[in-house]
Amino acid sequence: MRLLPLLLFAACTTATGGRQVAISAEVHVDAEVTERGGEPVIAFSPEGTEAEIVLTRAELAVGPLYLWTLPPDLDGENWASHLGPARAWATDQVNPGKLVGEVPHQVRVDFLADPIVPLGPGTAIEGEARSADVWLEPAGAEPTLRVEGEVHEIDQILPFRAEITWRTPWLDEEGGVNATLLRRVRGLPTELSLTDDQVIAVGIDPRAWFDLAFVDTLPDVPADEDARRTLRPQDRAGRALETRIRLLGSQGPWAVREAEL
Amino acid sequence: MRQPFAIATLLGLATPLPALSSAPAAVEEAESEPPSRGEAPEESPPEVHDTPGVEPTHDSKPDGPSLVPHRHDPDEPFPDHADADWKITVEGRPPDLRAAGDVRIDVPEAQAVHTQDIENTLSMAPGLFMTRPGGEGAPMQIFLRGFDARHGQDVAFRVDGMPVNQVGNPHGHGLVDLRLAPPEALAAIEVRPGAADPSQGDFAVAGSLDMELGLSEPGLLAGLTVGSFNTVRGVLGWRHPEERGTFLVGELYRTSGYGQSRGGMRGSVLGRVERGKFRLTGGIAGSDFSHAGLIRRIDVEEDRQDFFDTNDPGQGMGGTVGWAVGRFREEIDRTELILRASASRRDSWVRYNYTGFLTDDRRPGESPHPQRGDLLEQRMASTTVHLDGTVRRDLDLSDAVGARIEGGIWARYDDVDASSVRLRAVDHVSYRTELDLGLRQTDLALWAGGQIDTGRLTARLGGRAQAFHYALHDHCAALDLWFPGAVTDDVNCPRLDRNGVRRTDAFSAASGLGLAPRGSLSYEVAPGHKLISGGGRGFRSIEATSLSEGERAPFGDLWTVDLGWHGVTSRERLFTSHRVVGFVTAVARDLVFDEDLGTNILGGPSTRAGMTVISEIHHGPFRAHTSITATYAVYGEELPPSFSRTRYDREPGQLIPYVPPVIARSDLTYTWKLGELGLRHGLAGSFIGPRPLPLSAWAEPVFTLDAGTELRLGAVEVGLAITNVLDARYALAEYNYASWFPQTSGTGFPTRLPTRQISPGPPRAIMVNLTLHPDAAR
Repeated sequence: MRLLPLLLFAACTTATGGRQVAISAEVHVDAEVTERGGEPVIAFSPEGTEAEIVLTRAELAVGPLYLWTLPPDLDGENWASHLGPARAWATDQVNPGKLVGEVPHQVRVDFLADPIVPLGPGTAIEGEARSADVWLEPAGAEPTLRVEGEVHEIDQILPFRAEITWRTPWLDEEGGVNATLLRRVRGLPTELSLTDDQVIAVGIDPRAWFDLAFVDTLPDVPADEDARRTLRPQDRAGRALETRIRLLGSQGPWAVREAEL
Repeated sequence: MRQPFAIATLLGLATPLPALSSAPAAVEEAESEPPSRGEAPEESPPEVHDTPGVEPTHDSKPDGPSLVPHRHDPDEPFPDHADADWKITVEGRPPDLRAAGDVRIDVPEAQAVHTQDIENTLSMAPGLFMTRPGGEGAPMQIFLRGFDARHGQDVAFRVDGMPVNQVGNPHGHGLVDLRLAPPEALAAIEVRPGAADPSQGDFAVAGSLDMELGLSEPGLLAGLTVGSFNTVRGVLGWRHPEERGTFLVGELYRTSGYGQSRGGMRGSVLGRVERGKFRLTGGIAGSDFSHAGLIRRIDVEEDRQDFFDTNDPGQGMGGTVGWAVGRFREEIDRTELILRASASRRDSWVRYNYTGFLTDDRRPGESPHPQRGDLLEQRMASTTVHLDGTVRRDLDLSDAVGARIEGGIWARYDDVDASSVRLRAVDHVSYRTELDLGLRQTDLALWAGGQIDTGRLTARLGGRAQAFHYALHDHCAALDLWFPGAVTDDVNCPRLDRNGVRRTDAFSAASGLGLAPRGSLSYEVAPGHKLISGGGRGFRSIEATSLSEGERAPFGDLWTVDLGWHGVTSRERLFTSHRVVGFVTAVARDLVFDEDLGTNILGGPSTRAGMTVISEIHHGPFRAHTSITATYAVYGEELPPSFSRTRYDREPGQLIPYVPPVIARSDLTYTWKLGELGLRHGLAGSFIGPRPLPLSAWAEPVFTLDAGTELRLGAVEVGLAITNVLDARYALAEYNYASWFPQTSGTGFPTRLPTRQISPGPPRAIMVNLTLHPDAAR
């Protein structure tokens, strides 16, 4: 029956513009996992320090993923300082263009267990995407982020752990910071040609969660009874970690790209 | 004389020109009573001219043949019209049509299957498709001639001459709610596609549709209908035995509806008194319905929801209306004067949730909050008064050439208070104002035209001057206003801006004048065969929300032209009437519905081209009325500045979504007698071709079949009506836009790209009707 209009108006358009396609996404761990003492770990030294960080546990709830037509216009700046409605377009100062892709699911990634974790199926509009948002909204009771590890310095080993859920008290709502957007990583640059059955990789490098500031300020965090330091919102180390998890640009942990099949 | 005139009427020749003086004869002939619906034809002469007690509601009654001629004795052969009717009645001239697509439908005669409301009868009109996205309680959505007229924005509706398009309705400018009267009171529908007639005014973009009220039988009428989904409808009426224009009728209706959240009730009472030159009609109606809204197809396919479920049981529609329309009509020599005035007061509300939980992300200046729900409550209270008058004079230029001059005035004033607020899903308390305004709109027009008739050639030329005046009191002039230092949560209709204290309201006014040439040409190429072309410029007032201060052309306009062939044959017991009409319409400022805002927004220019084939065949007791309309509708290249970035349903040069490229409708009836028992059987089929959806998707085609049968024995009439006989499971309406209902959408995160939204069509319904006509027994 769909041919009927074609037959009637052979020389005319038979489309309304655009085409919806099925896509899917997966989360890639962009860090090498090694073994120490028979256990998987991610070991690395943040730039500017000799200290080594050994992650023995790293979990993050990732998703959903949204794709937009325009590239980020705030080079290296986190869009989280701007507001935007949850519609298919933005009306704030930052203009990401038109929403052209979504994978409206969340997955909990164990960075030490699986190098690739499916995020789920989604839909897109055929064409190009130039920026992406990844949300870190708390989906359930579990903390969005769970991380445990040790900082190995020349003269000491500082065990630490952190559990962050992007809700109060980790969100400074009294100060007017937007609670919604702090749960989101907005404006990730990408260059995607959205086609049918395309698989999109959301690469996360947990090594980029930590920097010199974290290492330098971790000793200020009081130790628990088990000598492990639990990061809190009021700690500079805690803030440093929370901020870097959402950091954009080459210094940040995020990369949205086509998955290599 | 009687019989030939009847046939002339049958062929649409009952208002011949230039001989207006023949009109009294027509009135005189019309004294014969027609058999009522379901009554077997008798040996009496056929009905002529008009449905009893009613008359054309527009001033230029279509001169073309009715789609459904009045009842004719099936046992009597039709005389050959070339020998009989033209010669006797109109001196050999063929039918006159102002536009090839003009159609008059005498509803009691043509309707194959009895419906429970007036609005469902509209689908009998060629090329018209009506849906109710969400069920019986939703506003009807109309498609005509390639226009997605939404709830009425592109079709000018009048009931007994009273304009019923609701100016400034926040759910859709021009919204039409026809629950003014029971279906028994609908006598005829006149459809005038396009804008070839200078009397066509505001909203006549796709065309105009006039509805005439009247009861088909004199005396008492008492009816009771019961059927599927706990539906009960009672109707009580009476028509004066001699003054056919005098009647009263009322109905009460209640249903639980199919599936979830489709129950409701309505009632209406109306009456009319007609004495000599004066006629006064008035009524009061009320309704209150739930409706299911739209559901996401994927949720049904993945068993998260049933086909007839709802995502938000808070949706519904209702309102009350009181109305009156009076008419004065006089003929002096060869001049006819008609004056009409009407007044109506309406309160109505619509609750719709198109998008679920998407639009309430925290805005600048708001405290943190979760999505509170997108349920939109749109309320309107309006007072409308209207006055129109027409003067026609027939002239004899010579024995062979006749002429007519005509002119008219039109005035309509609307005083509207409209608001639109979002309601919290948890308790239905309003938390946000989307719209709050008072609108005073005046629509004034003068029109004039002339006609020359040389026998085979009829030429009409006229024009309309149309003025719109708007005064807009916006009570929430700053919808979202945040600035550093703004009062937290006082950003929706704030009383403070960066320059200090301010009032929440603002006033704007605009006026504009448009001129519209209109005309038509009709040429008889052979006996019974005519070529007709018509066209002109039309107007539509604009949505108040899109009004700019001091705007000089505050209306949408269009140009339309059509060309058609009309052929009529009549021999023995066979009568046929066929038409083929091609049309093109270009609209300068089209409107598109925005699901986020729940109202229309400007969509830029658009063009439609298409063809309608209308066929009418009578053979003895059998009648078939069929129409097929094919339409090609595309947007122009220009876009409103903000459009392309924000929406998926509007692409330059591409098809207009939702407009059905193919609409077909067929009504078949068979009437016969078995002794004293009169029987009437009907079958109605509708086909809606695949409809284009945003993002180049296509909706599934729809085919439905309705059947009915009626038995009449003296004063007792029993009817059975089955709609959707095949119990087809289909989507009456399909859309492609974003929504997210966390409970059913299969994900805890917003789905913001378009997905298929459907409005399930009603399943098979069986209604049994018992009607008593006590006075018929006498």
